[in-house]
Amino acid sequence: MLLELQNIVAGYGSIMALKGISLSVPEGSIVSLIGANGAGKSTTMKTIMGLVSPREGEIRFKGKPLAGTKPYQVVHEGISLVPEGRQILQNMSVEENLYLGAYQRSDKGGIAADLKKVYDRFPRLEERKKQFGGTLSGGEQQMLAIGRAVMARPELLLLDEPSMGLAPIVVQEIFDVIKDINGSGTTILLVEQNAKKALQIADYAYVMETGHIVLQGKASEVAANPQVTAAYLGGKK
Amino acid sequence: MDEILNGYVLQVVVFSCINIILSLSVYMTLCTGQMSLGNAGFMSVGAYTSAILTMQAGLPMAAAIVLGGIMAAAVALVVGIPTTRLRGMYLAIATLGFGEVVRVLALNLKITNGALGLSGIPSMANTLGDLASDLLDVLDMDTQTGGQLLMCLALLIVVAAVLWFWHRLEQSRIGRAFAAIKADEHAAELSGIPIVYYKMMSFLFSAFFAGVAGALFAHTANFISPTDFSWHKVVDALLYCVFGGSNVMWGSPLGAVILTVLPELLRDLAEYRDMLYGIMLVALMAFRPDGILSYDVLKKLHRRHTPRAVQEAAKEGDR
Repeated sequence: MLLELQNIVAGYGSIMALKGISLSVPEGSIVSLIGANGAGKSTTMKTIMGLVSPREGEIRFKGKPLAGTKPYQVVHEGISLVPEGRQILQNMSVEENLYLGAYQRSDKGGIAADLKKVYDRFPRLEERKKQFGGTLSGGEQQMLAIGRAVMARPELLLLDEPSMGLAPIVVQEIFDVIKDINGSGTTILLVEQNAKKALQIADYAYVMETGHIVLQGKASEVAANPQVTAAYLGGKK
Repeated sequence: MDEILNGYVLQVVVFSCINIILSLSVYMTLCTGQMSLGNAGFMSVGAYTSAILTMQAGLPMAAAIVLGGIMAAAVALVVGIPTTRLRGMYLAIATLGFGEVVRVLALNLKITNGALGLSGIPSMANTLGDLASDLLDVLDMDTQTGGQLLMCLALLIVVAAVLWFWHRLEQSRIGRAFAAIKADEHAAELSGIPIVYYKMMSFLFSAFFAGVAGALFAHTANFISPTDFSWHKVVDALLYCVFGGSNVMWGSPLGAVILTVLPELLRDLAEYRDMLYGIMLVALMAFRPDGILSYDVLKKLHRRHTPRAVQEAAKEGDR
């Protein structure tokens, strides 16, 4: 297992958003985490990144315990997060945003090669590389956020609601890119409200409800589950 | 020549230089998005350290000034551990409180001579005048004016060095981290930047240079007392910074020079002076909320002074 969470309890102040969740992400796979608003999906991501520290439980990445490490150390270990709402640096150019993703790397040749890869994957970003991040459209900002995370050359890429607020045609593009990134060897943990799309591209899926994992299994099995169909996939198939 | 180099003008130059360093020290924490108002406190620490070291331990002035800065940074290291975790106005209030603590300490300690302050601090003008007395003889200048002139030159060199240092820093990897933290702390953290470390670093630099500014003040005014380092001082410094443009390095020195020289020029207006000064500040904030210099203005100036051929070449490169 590349990433393993065991009985994680975490939250904010006196409110526990995660009430003992366990999940595992096998190397090379795409794992989707679906659920309604407030189920604890984003908190799970933040806990993995070290932005929220767990009260109980254990996180292991490549067999090493991760709980209690700082975000920059987690990035160093090889995990990158594309945060919900993208968090592009508005007053910096597209290229500066991308270089920021490679902050911890010092291999100039490798960074240049990866920058080229990002531009090949998102030609729109290359066209706009001198433009301020804040002037991009929503879809382009999402591409930039993904590009920035990839620039850290992570082994595990976490994506928090990458389709949020985007036009359907752009959503399809983003999902294609996610599959493509996975195809080049990066493991992916995806949080989505767009359950249909998330289940389509995933190998495994977890369904969360109010801080618990209520269902898990192969993505195709989860998608076939009548409860999931009723709750997340718009009724009968 | 004598008209320009009289004591009064030189004095204004000296104050401008010290204010530039002080406002740059405020700018340094703004670089990481921290509004720290403890700089009057750090200035005080630097001033008293340097004054006491020269007067009682007989240290050479240059060494004492540097030690004043180091002492201020050392204090900042202790203060910074809790305060760099604060944000926005909480940080502003906490650091302002620190400044007041320093003032009250200086007011009550024996070594700082309480409210009476320290007088007879070795003067930089005299020291430099004595050092270069032969040169001044050749130039047919008396040690008084010559010393003052040399002091101005020394301060200008220090200002240039601070500006050069910070300019280099902003172009470096550290500078990129600072800019990212200022733009979005959360995003910076997720990109793998240890934000507490860099915020602390900018806080220490800020304290060091505030300390140096204080030490320079001590040796140019030759007298310091706790009232010299009240919170007015840091509000002034912040004003220089915001007036000149708080998003670019050149804003602080510009603001400091204008706001130091202007009240002198307005001296003839007597009691209307403060009013006019106030109106000007309000007007500037209304019409140029980012201060006189902003990123865009610098870019435009840069473009105007770059030969056309270079511009064309740069454009080609973009394509």
